[in-house]
Amino acid sequence: MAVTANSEIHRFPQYKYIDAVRWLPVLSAFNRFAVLATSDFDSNLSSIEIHSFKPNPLSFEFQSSWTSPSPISSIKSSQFLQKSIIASSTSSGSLHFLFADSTDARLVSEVSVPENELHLEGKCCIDLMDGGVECVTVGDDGRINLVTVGDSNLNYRRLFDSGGLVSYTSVKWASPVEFATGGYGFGLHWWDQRKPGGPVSQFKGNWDKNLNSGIVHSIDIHPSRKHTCLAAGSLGTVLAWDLRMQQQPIILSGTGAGDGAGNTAVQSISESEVWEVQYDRCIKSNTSSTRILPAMICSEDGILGVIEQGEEPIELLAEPCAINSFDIDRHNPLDVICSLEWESVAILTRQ
Amino acid sequence: MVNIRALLTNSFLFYYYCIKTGHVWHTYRFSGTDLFVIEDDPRYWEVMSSALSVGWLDIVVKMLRLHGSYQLDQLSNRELENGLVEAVAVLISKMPRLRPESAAGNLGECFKSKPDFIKAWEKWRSQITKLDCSPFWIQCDNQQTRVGLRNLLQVMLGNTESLCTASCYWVELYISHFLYIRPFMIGVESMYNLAQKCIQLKPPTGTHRLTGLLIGILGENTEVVLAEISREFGPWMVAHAVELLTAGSEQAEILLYDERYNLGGISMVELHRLAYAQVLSSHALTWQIAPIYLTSCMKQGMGLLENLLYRQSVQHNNMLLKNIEICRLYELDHISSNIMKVAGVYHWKHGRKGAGVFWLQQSQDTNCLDRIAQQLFDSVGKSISDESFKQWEGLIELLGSESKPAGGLEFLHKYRDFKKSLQMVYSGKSTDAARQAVGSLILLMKNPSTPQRFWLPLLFDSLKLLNWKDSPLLSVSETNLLLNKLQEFSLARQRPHFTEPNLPPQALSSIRLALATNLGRAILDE
Repeated sequence: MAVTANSEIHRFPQYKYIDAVRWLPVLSAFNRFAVLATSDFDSNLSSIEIHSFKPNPLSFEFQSSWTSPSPISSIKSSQFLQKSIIASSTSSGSLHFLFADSTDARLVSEVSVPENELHLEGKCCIDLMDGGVECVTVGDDGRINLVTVGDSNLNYRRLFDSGGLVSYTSVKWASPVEFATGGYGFGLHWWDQRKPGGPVSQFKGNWDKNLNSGIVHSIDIHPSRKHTCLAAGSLGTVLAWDLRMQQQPIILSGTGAGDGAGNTAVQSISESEVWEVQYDRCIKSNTSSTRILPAMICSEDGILGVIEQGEEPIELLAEPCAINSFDIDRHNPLDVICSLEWESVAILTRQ
Repeated sequence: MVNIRALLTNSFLFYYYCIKTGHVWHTYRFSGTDLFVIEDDPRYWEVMSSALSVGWLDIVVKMLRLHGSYQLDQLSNRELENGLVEAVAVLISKMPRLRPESAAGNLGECFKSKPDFIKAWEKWRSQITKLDCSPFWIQCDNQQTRVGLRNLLQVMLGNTESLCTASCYWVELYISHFLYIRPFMIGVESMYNLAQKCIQLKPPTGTHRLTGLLIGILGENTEVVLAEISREFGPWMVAHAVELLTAGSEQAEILLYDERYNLGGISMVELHRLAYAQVLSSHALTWQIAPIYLTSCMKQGMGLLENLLYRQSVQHNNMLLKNIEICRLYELDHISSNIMKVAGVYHWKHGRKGAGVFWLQQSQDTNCLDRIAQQLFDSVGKSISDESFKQWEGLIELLGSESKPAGGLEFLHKYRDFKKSLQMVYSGKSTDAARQAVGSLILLMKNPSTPQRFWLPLLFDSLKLLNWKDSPLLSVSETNLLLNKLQEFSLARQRPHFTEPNLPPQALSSIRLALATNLGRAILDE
């Protein structure tokens, strides 16, 4: 079924539970840094830790950390004005931006939006624009906010409030004015800031009798294919939603997908929750092709793999525990960092 | 305990050795200069006899070769002495061992079969005895060397006193018995007796964790072994030791798998696994491993597993989803359905209505959904403006197709469609749109899931359709249907606990009038 690729895998036990992991973009080409959102169950503290990764000799060392006032829901990282930014949202509804030096990743400063301003208590998901100027936050409480990051201040405004009728579980920028959100029932919404008041397009995920209902955990949009939205969620489902053909999603993987009309039996790389999906940027995109570009996923049943439309999925890792999150390094797309459920981090270098 | 490290560097030979007597470690170091008279130091001979007693042949031979008589300038004077030392060294290096083959560099001669070994062993012992009885000893000048070497020979011959002196700890004495006295011990019982004897000869100064365990194993006493393990090691060890104990021992298997009345009808195996599972369940990071053990416990495992799964918080989707995944892996559908119900109600009560409906749908609990529908209608039924419908849009999307059980919420879906078609009617004047709207109205009125309290508002909303100027939109049968519904509604009003819908007082009569007019026109048309 799935083909195992050649890659070097290094595991680093951390002794703390890791909620999420991201590469930190820095200006220096020699130093590599990763951001970890950790929670310590014994002391009940959550923090963001920066570790430096050196391939030769192999080391993954703690550099610095910042303690969060409440459990961290999600983190994103980007570069802005010669500094590296880490944005993190917490379960009490606050949003924090950490600025780090671009050469040695020292944490320099922090600005934040206090709790209950943006969101009520509950999980919220964020996305930071490339270039780090704007951040969109969506939450379980059905609110969508936009936060603009300045050098030392933040401006935020509420874009939409469904009053709890819809809960959003994931979000991704498509362009400086558009973004996509995902929620329960495999629902996807497309938003355009030029047309406020509600989503401009909606995908009803569970309208298809062949697709069992689930939650969208992660969305990715490729910069060269801004009309297509890749969504991943429950039951191993990964689907591509094309705005130009809204009612015909392309199902790339999923056990919920049966063989109904239009859906040839799909090979599913995973049978359980897919926590994250990202386009695999190490493969050069062929802009003339109409096929969905290859994407990497990580799942609850411990699979890290690459799926491509019409091809057999490739398994990079098959762990006995879940893989909660992963990130592909923008500057070195062959390197992938992922966080394992059993308190460790794994770094893969593909060949 | 003897611990010897030999460090050979380029120009200096340093020998460190440590002897533990009681609880104290003594460290000794021989440097290059001391080597000239190393044989005068009694510790040199002590170390060698200790090492020999536990079978470290290569160390003993290396140390023997450090003897002063090997020095180039000493050779002429101490030729005889050197000869004796070398003879002992050679004897040691040729000790017979019963093993298929030895790793390269190890001393001793290997024999694969027992008869070959016995023959070689007896020959070796006779060689030692011959050397021991040789007249050269008298001519050996150095007293230390003489005494030391002869002691080594006694060790090799299996002299109990020498062995006792040479070994520091009862386990070492035990091993030396197998090496030099009786290589073939028959039966575990005699091994046990020997162990007891060694303990008597070399009583341990303190309690060592493994002593009790070793004795228990040699004594083939399963209960003692389990007791020792549970006392000295953690619950993991106890849970997994059962597999070791039952491998190859039927007796142990019967003992451990037998269901005992005093344990509540479970076996010892199950008891220990449950104990370990409880330890795992108590920590947030390890509870997910507990199901593996609990599902292997036939009697009480499933009950405890249910408790464990129900105890986990539904607050965070991550934990909830992992919990549901475990249920799926172990095919515990009823538990996962209950957990989803709890999650649904939790989200609903905290204002996350969409999430609540989603989880209740997943749990396929139509009763709960119906009850929620009633609550929703209370808030929706009051007034449906376009803005509030925009807000409901997201929730209505969740309702999906007919195949998903949505209870009374299906009605909202259809109501939305009806409202949309009404809007089209109001904006334009086309009759087709109006017919479509009427079609939806009839479907709604016919559908049993439409709650009764919505009949009047629905009919009131469609007054324009009923009073359609161009032609009657309803056929005779359809009009009759609506009239019947209206009649039912009027009767229902008489009953107690009836809540009046929030409509102008003449709503009922204007609807009745419109329907009657329509009936007349329809009959005329047909």
